[in-house]
Amino acid sequence: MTAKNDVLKFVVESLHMAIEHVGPNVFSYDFDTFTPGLLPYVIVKIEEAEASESSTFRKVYRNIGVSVGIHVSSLYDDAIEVLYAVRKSVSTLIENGAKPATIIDFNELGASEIEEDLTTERSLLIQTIGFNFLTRETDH
Amino acid sequence: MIHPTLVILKQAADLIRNNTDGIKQTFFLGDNKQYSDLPQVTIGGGEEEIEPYHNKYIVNLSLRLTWHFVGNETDNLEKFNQIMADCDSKIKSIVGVHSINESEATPITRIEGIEIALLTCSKTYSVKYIRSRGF
Repeated sequence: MTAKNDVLKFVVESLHMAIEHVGPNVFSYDFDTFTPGLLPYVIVKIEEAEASESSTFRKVYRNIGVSVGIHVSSLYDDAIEVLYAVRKSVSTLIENGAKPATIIDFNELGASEIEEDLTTERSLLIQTIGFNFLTRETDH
Repeated sequence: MIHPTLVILKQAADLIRNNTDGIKQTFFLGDNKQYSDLPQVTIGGGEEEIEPYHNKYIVNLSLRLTWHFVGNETDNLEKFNQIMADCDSKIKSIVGVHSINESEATPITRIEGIEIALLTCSKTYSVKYIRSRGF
């Protein structure tokens, strides 16, 4: 599963390396270490969708889906502007980041509808963006 | 440079805020809304389907307007429909996109269970535009 690890590592490191460029209090966390006090934050959640095939050259190709969740607190004025600023930064970082050799192509898939979570003391804006990575590795 | 989707959402808000009679307040999702000044409209949606197109992306954006009206003025339904039609024409005048189509609309319904009487209605538009990869 080298390719999946490469994709995960690439996405997390791309976002983590650029903390100061994305804005104040922006971090990348695993989805199970999520801390609402540090908003806005970016949750990186890997959802894998494999489609593998082997060729005569013993290469395995996979489509690996990555979801990046963005949560913004309405503590900020114009929370929607903060949300789209973080979104733009995430897209730019992933588009322009130096990718490992196992990633041969990728594209953005889309974004979920913006959710307004009114159950917390301060409402949250939540949107998830999806990317697809095409990877190639040697079939052993 | 701001995200192209936000450019479209802000353009929608400016067109409605500055050019639509009858709307007292225009909000985005996440804004602190007060139901004291009605009618009002909230701009939301934001779902995107993205397709690669040469070295760019074609984006199908879902833009939703949600209106709130004072609920006990049921004899003003004609006025509410006129306000929604005005907003509709403003959305259709957004520039910088390839197409705008209505995709879904809900009837005017009463919000139950709250002290003040509110009517609500929403309409969703499908907006198609092209943007570059990675900005």
